[in-house]
Amino acid sequence: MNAPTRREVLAATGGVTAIAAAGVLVTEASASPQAAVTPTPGVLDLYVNEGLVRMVDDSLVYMRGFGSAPTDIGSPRPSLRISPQVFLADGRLVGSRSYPIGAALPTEGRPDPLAAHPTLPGQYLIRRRYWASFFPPRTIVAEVGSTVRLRVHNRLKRAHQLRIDGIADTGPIAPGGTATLAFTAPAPGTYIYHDPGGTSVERILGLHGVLVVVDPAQRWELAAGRAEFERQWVWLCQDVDPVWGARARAGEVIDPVATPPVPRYFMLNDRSGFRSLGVSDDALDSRTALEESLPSGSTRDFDVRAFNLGQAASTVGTGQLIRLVNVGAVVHQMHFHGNHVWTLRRNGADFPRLAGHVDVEGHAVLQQWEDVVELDQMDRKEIMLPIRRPPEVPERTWAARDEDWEYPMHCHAEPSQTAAGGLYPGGLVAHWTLAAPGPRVAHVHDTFPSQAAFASNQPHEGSPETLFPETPTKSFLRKFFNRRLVFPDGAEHEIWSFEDEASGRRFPAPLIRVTEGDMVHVRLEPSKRVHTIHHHGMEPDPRNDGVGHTSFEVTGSYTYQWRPDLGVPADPNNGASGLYFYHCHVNTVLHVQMGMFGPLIVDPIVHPAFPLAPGARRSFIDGPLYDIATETLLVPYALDPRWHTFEHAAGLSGEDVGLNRFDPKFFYVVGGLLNGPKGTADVSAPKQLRANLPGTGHPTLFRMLNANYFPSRARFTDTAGKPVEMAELIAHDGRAFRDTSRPGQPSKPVRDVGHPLRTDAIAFGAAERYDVLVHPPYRGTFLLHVDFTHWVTGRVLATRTIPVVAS
Amino acid sequence: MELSRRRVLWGLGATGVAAGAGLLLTRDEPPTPSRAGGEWTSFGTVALLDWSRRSLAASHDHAAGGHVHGGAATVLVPSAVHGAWTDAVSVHLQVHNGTHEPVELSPGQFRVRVAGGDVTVSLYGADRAAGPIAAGSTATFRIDYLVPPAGGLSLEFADAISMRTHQLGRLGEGSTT
Repeated sequence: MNAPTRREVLAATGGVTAIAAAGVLVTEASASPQAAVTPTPGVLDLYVNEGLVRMVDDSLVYMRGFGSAPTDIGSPRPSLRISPQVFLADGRLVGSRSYPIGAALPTEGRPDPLAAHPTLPGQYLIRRRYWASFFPPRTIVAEVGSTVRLRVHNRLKRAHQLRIDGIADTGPIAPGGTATLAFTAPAPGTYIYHDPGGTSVERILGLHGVLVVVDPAQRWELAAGRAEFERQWVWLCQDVDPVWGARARAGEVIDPVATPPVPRYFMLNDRSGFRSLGVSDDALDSRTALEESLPSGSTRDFDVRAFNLGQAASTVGTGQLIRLVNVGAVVHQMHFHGNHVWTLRRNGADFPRLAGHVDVEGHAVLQQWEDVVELDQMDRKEIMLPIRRPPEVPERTWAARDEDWEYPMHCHAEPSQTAAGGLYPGGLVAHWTLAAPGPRVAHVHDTFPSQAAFASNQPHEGSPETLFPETPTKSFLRKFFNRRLVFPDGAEHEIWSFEDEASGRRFPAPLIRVTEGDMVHVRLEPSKRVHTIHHHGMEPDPRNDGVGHTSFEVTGSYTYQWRPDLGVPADPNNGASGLYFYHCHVNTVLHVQMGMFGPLIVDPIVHPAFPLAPGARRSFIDGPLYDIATETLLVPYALDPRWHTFEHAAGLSGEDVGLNRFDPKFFYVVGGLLNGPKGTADVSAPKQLRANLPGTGHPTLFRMLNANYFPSRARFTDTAGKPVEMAELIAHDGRAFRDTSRPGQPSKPVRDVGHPLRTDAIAFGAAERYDVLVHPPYRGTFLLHVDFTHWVTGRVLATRTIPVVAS
Repeated sequence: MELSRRRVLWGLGATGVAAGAGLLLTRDEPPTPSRAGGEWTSFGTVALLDWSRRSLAASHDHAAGGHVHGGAATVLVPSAVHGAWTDAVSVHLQVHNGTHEPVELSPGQFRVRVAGGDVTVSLYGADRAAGPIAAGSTATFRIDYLVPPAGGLSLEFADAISMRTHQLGRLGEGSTT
């Protein structure tokens, strides 16, 4: 062995300079690639290693990563990620899973409250600036004022690189070489460090991590003057393609365009499925998952207009911050049960609270409530999980609460819920917990030896009782059926769905329409096997949430009970009116694709200050009037015929049926007029849309729901294809777009304060919904184009165009 | 980096088994792994020693309290109501690491293949977790799978080092115990 002859070049001393200097960073090869270098105080050594990583089905997959020690591919414990590290403003580098250093560690990750709320039963006062947060591996925390010093050792046979986009870049590091990088911590926020080699290839193979920058003077705020939080979380979304791994291992250069990845595993913070949920037999790993990935806390009062209002001495009314980071291959759709979340910023840019807009992609840029947060590749979004009383829980149920309530979070791009081609829910999942009132109660979970054991044995009951039953004001029956249905293009497909007493066996399933404040009962009769109904966006107690692993699946019958939250004019914290949908949550990836879903609309109560008019309704309590006669449901739905040959429980026993591979061949926009005569066709799908001209009546409302697993994009044009800005977004995921810029002041709809969200394009990923007012600029015909795009490549797979006749 | 002559020889010795045994090509080690009975792999051998198949249908599901023990690595609790398969196969395996380095081995590298199609099955449980097999040592595994009620089955092993899949034998057709 020769002695090392390293020449390390200090890259730069600050952000942008680092990039400019990147070209001189390549260093000569180390002659001692097997040995760890002598640590230098204040410098973090990262080793570009390779190794075999155990997936949730216990298979081994070749991956790469930035590790903390040199290991080779044969190592039983390859070092492919670092434990969390903290660069302090005083110049020290500290290895620590928690931050702030020295702050109290929350047991099992859950911060305890300071005291019971003095006036709100079952709610608590949250400690302010008290709790530390645990971070997952791959995290580097840097305080503002610190210098991040990295020394990157490439131990592989090709050049590798470490880049933080727009901040710092080692440039290519030759095999066996070392590069040193130093830069001043950038503005507070969330950043990705990754190897940009092959565009996305090296990142997806595992060369990625997160840099979290914190202002040491505001350690519990996103940035000075920005959202304050009780504690924070980093959620790293990762997708794994073993075929890419094998090809990389064999030395191939992978072209991500010619051969896009086909992920087979989907992870959150390096875990999937039952391990991510903390229910594996590995107690230590489960505890770690609780600490670093599974939010939990006590119920608190919450106002989205201000996250830093003290409520009493040392308390604050806020939630828990989650930094969503997508380093994976696909567009993820992070769906929260139990609480909507408040989206604060994307990719370092704060969303405004008032003067929002719709960006060129078709996304609303405004702080807003969402129950599904779209996360594109390389996206970073900061959101606030309120941890407040789930709004659709009836009073008696809430008062009787005596145990923790767990709510799932999962990606609604459903193929990501699989592992090894099946094993639902074995993919990118988590949950959050609303702590039981009173002293902490030890909650004992069943544990499982494998993902197959978890997937094949979800809790189920025959005909369980609805607890704390109330007299319903609206009741519905939903019975399972399966039948081959004829679609508008003449194709026949096997469909599983729901019917009621009068609907007949059609698709989509019949509308559930209720009003805020209704006591709603929905009786499920699965008829065959087990099913559930999850009323997506409604947030009742877990028993009525319709998710197997947090409640039960139903064989006989069950009556779900929930009460939509009452709206208050100019109040952004209350009100459930808007568009939702309901669907089966058993083997969801398959059952929703098979057709087990239908629309759910909550109408607002009528407030004296916002009366109705003949033939008109409002989509939320102080929203604009719209024309009932032309209210239209539009649902993009793509169909993979291979999936429509599967059995009810395909994949659940551990068999690889390829449920990670959604390859749609048929593309539809189903729905139609919501208030017109019911059609007799098997599948309702509009061939032409109507929209009222300004001055001819109240405007038309389109209710848009993406039931496709991949992102969709709606575009309005004239007949020559020229974009027409005729859509106005007024609500998303059942929540109105409001001005929330003034704490304690009324939050009017943004359209009423001079900032309507007008657009010609609407981007909506899986399970997202928009309420859209249509404003044709003149009499005539326009076109609504719905693009079905691919979740990896973004390529348009198909476009369906429907004329919109304005009169 | 050029390979030394010794490394090349070692590589040739191993590639009779696995052309893609990248790990072994880079090691300064004796040229030939020792072996036990069974299928040659990049690091030694794996062998299917025994298997048993049983129907769990009589035990129904979790709600009915049906568990299956005896010859299995884990307590099998499939849910017939849920729609999961209620037959199970337990396999008994021997793994020999004939190299001079520990070799990482995970029970998930073994999968059951259902005859007549492309479907393979992930494990339900194993009596050993993933971990290194010590150099020169032999270990045994018991691994359980849920399997469909009819049709032929076979067992295969994915060698993570050579990236080859080895067929370890048929598990019989339809026989139950």
